[in-house]
Amino acid sequence: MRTFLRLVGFLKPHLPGVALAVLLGVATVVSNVGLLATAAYVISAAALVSFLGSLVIPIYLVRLFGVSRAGARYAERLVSHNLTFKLLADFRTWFYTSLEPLAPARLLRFSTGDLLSRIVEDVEELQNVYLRTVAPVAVASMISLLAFVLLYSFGPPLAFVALGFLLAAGIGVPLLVRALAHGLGRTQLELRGELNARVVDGIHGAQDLLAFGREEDHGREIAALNRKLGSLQGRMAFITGLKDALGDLMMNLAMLCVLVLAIPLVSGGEVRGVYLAFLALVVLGSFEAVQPLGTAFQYLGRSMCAGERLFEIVDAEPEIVDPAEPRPLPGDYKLEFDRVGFRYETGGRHVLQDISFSLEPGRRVAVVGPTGAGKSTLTGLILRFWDPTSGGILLGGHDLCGYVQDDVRSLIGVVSQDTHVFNDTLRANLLLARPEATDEDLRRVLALAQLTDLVERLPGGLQSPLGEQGLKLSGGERQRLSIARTLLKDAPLLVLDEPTANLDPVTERELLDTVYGSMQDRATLVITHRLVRMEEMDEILVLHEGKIVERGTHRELEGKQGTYRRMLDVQREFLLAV
Amino acid sequence: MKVLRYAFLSGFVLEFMTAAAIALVAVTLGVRVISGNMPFEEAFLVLLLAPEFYKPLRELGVHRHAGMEGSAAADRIFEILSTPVPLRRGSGDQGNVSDGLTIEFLGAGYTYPGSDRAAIPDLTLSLPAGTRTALVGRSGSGKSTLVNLLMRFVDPESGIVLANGVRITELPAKTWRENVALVPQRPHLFHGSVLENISLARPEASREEVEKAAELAGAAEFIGHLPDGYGTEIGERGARLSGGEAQRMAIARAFLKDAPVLVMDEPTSSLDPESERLVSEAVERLTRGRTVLVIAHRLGTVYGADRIAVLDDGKLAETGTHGELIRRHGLYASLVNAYGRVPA
Repeated sequence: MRTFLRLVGFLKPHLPGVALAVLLGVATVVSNVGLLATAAYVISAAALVSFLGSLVIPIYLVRLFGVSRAGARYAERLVSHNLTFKLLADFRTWFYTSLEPLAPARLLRFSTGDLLSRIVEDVEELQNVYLRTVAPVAVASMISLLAFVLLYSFGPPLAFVALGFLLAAGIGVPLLVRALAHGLGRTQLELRGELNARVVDGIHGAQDLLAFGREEDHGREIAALNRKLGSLQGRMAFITGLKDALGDLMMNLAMLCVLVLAIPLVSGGEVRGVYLAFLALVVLGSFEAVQPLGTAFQYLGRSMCAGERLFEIVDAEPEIVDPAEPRPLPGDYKLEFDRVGFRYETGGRHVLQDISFSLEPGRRVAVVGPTGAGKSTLTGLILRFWDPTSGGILLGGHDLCGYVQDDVRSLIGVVSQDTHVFNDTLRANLLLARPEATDEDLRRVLALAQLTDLVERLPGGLQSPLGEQGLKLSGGERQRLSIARTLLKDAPLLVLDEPTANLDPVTERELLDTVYGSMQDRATLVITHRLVRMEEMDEILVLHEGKIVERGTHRELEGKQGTYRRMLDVQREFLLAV
Repeated sequence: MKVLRYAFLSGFVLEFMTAAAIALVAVTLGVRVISGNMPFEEAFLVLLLAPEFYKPLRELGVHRHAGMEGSAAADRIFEILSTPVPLRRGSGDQGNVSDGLTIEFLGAGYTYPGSDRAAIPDLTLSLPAGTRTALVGRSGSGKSTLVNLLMRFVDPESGIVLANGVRITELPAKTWRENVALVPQRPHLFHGSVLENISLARPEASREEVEKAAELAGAAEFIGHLPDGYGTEIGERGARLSGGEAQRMAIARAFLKDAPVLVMDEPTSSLDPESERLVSEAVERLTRGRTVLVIAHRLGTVYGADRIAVLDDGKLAETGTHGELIRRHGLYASLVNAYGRVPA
C-alpha cells in the first residue's frame, strides 16, 4: 500500500491533466450510454406517442452523443498518452537523480548480469500505474456512481441491483481470475526465460554442439520446453476467455434483472413505459467502464513489484558520505596505503588484504597480477567509490575520509582500459576534464597524446563529432583521448589502470612512450597484467588473490623464482600478441 | 507520439463511424415506427444489434496492428530460413580409421557469402596421420576458415578435402564430425552441470569415463573444489569458470570423445601461470597419437609441432619446423620478432 501511495504521489504535479483525462474517459462512456439509451427512448416514444414533434430533442441528443463519443475518446487518448510520456520522463529523472549519489559503487554491482536492463524495464513499467490502473478505476467508479444515481431516481431496487452487478463484474470477476491464474503467470515467465536461455545457449554454443553432433538433442530439448509453454499458454487463454465470458454474463444478467424489476414498476404506473428500454440500455452501456478493470489488477501487481524494486535501490544509503567538516586539501600529495583490506559486503570474500605502499611525486609504482587479483579495486578505493573495510588510505598524512570526495578526485587523473567517448564534439570530450581550458591548452595536450594527426584528419577539427553519431575512434585513439583528458586535468596523482589492454603490441609500445613521457614528476600508479617496461618502475607490487605476494624492482623480481617470474615466462611464451 | 496520434486518429474515425451509424439507425427506426411501418419490438431488436455489427470491425482495428507486426517478424524469420545450407549431403561411409586419419586439402578454396575476396583462394596442405601441425598467421589470414573447412562448418567451393583418400563431402556431416574433436578458443559452457557439460562429447559415457577425461584434462582438481563437484551448475546462470578452467573443460570433452583428429584454437590472451601450465600439460597428453591441427599463439606450441604452416592472405606462405623457418628469415621469423624477442 505504501508503495502504491508513493507511486500515486507522482501524479500530484499532473493533477489537472489526470482530472481532464478521467473526465474525458467518463464522457466517452456517458456518450455511449446516452447514445444507446436515448436511441431506445426515441424508438419507444415513437411507438407510443406517434407524434414526430416530441422527438426532435431526443433525436438531436442521439446525434450529439454519436459525435461526442468519438470526440471524447480521441481527446481522452491524446491527453492520457501525453500525460503518460510526461510521467515517464518524471520517473526517469527521479530515478536517475536519486541514483547518482549511490553511483558508481552500487551501480557496479548492477552492471553484472541483467540487472541494469531490468531497472530500465521497471521504470517503463511504472507508466501503467496511471494508464492501466488509476485512470480506469476512476472512470469505472464515476460511471458506476452516475448509473446508480440515474437508476435510483426511477426506483432504488433497480439502482442497487445494477450496482451489485457492476461491482461483481469490476471486482469479483478479476479477483476470481486472479485466484485461478495464481502462479501461472510466474510459471509462464520462468518457462519463457528458460526457453530463451536455451535458445541463446544453443546459438552461442552452436560450434560446440555441431562439433559433438549434439544439435538434434538440443533441438529436442527446446521443442519439449516449447510444448510445455504452449500448454500453459492454452490454460491462460482459457482463463482469459472465462474472464470475458463472465464479464458479458454479468452485463446481460444485470440488464435482465433490471428489466424484471422494472416491468412491474411500469405496469404499476410508477415508471412510464417509454423509459423501459431506456433503463435497460443505460445498464448495458455502463458496463463498458468496468470491463478494463480485469487487466487493471494484473497491471497493478506488476507495477507494484517494479515500484518496490526501484524504491529498494533508491532508498539505500549512499556508500560514501562527505564529512560534516571537511578538511582542506593538503599541500603535499603523498598517498599512502596503510594495511588496507577490502570486501564488497560484510562476511564476503576478501578482495584486498593488508595492502601497504606509498606514492609520492616523481615515484612510479606498478601493481601487477593475474586477472581477478583485485587490482582494479585499488583504483576504486583511491577514487573513493568505496572506503576500505580495514586499514586506511592517507593523503598528505590524513585519512581520505576527511576530505570532500570531489576534492580528492580533482587531484587524480585516471587512464583506464575502457574510455567512454561521449556522443559529442572532440572539444567537449576533452573539456570534461577541465571545462575552462582554452583551445591552446587542448591543442597542446592533443599534441602530447600524439593526436595531432587525428585532429588534422577530422574535417571539423576540434568541432568534429565523435562517438555513436560521429567518428568512431580506434582502440588506440580512444586511449590517447583518455590520456589527453588526463593531461589536461593536470592532476598531481596519476592512475593508469590497464591503459594498454586490448591493444596490439605496436600500438601498446607507442602509447606507453606517450604516457611514460608525461609522468615525469607526478606520482604514478600503474595497474597492469602486461609486464611491459617494468624496468622504469620504482617499485612493483605483485598481487595475487588480494594479497601482495612479492614486491621489489623488476631486476630483483626477475631473479626470484616467484609469481612475477612465472608471469614473465608465460608472457615470453607468446608467439605474437594478436 | 506522432505515430500514436495517427493510430488514435484511425481509432477516432472508426469510433465516429460506429456512433454515427447507430445514431442514424436509431433515427430511421424512430421515423419508421412513428409512421407505423415497423412494430416497436423489431425496431428495438435492430437497435440492440446495431452496436454488435461494429464490434468485429472495431476489433479488426486493434488486431490489425498485431497482425502487421507478426508478418514483419515472419519476414525476418523466413529470410534466415531461406538461406541455402552450404553443405552438401553425402551418404558414404568413413571406413576404418583405427590406424589414424591423414587429411589432405587439395586446391581447396572458399569465399564467405557477401565477400568479394576469397578467404582461402587455393590451398594445398597435408596433415599426415598422427602428426601435429601448427597454423600460424596474422588475424584474417585464413586460419579459422581452414578449421571451418576441416570441421565441415563450410564446404569448399573449389578443390577437395580428403580423409584417408575419401572426400569428406561424400560423408554425412554428422558422420564426418564423429572423427574430429574441437577445442575452440572460447569453448561454450552450456547451462547445466559440469558432468553434463563434459559428457556433451559422448552422452552415453559412464561417470567413471567422464572423471577419467577430466583427470587427463587437468580439470579434476578444480571440479573437486566446486561446491557441488561434478553436479555444480555452470554456464550463464551458474557458477562462472575462469578462462583456463573453461579451456580444460573443453579438453576434457575432447578426451572423452577420443577422436582420431583434433582441431584446436589456442586462446590469444594469457591465462594465469598455473592455468597455462595445466593446459599445456593436458594438451600434450591429448595430442599424442592423433592427427592435430592447432592454431598456435604460443612458442611452446610451435616448438612441439612436427610442422608449422604459415598462412598469409589465405595462401600457404611457408612450412617447416621452427628452426627451419627462423633460419629462412621469412614471414614466420618476422612474426616471431614482432614482439621484440631474440628467437631460439
